[in-house]
Amino acid sequence: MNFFKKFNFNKNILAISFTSILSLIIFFYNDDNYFIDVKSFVFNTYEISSKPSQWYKNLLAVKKENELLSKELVQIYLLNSKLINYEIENKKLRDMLGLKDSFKHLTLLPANIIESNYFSSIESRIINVGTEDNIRKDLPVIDIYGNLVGKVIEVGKHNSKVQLITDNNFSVSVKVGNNISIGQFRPTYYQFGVLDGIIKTLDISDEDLVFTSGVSEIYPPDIPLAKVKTQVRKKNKLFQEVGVSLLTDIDNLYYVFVVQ
Amino acid sequence: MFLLSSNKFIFFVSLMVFLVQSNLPSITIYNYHKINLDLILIFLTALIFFKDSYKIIFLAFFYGLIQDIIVNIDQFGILSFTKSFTVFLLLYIRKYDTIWNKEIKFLYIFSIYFIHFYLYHFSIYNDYYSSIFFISFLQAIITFSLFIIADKFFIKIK
Repeated sequence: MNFFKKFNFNKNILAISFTSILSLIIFFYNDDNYFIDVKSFVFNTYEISSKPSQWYKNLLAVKKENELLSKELVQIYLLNSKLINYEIENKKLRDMLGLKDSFKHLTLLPANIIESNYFSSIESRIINVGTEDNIRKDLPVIDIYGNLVGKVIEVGKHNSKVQLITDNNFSVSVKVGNNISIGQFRPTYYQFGVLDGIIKTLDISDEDLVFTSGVSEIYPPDIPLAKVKTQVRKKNKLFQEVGVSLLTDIDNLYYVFVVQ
Repeated sequence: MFLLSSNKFIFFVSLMVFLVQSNLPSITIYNYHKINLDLILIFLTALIFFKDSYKIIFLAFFYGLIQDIIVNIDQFGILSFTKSFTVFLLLYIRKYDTIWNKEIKFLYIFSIYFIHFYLYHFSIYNDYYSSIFFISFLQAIITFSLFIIADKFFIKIK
């Protein structure tokens, strides 16, 4: 009887010990197949539970987005006609030099961001496409303007999780500047990041666009992701410190495209 | 509120709270920092006053686990641990129910809320400690204010 009384008294401690051990197990074995199924189930439940907020957010966003997109469309039409001319010119010059095509046509799958405020994070977003839409791990994700948003890291049946470009553990090989210098992008704070490995002698100027280099199995080349903001060259360092700001607006992501 | 002692009712209310929580809007303070009304934490605190049970720790663990799966990238288990540990600390109120007066209980709840939000923001944001401190404090105040309203109408702490 005494033992049971003592057991009853320590139930809270037993419960917290048990949940702490469970948390540790989850921490170390989160790539386990069983846990992946659980994640997939949670993604689907989460999508259903956050349907009302999706509905009212879409309602609020659609009108504003429509106005912006119509303006963009006109500008893009104008730019497109200009680019078609450039393409023809570029093709001719490439033929003259005997170069191969560097840019493959990408297949894009549109997806909606499922976001509820309580579960919002700068690390990840859930999108409403999954294995049934032929989504697999490590596919790049871009926004409606073609800027890099992140990559798919977990795939459920109908939903997937995207690791955002702002996540601390995100890193991508990039090219920048007129000399096309290769470096490594890593995020620092909010919409900002730095480029590592850019040699000091290479000429980079403010507002230069940063593109994916294609030196990776995940990201195709020439996807824009950031703009150069600062460059610092220190005497005692081999590489220059390049500060960049992201092109994609992480706070206002509603629609994205998965590059297949 | 006497219904909160029934397990089936608790399960139903838990689902409802989760549903409402998933759809509540939030306030952006600055940059990406958002403050939301943490109904789940308030619900768990309220449960402690109606049901002195270790089962609330497990319920908190599951809420945290859902949050972990949706929010975290490679730190799974941190939020589930934070939530269950918060409830474990909150359960001490029942132990000192007759010793502590209302003010001490409120102060204790506020401190626990602050610790909870500090750990939460610390694990999901990459920011200066001072801004994490500020955001956590603000969120603790907002959640605590909501808890006081809930206390006035439903919980009625003595």
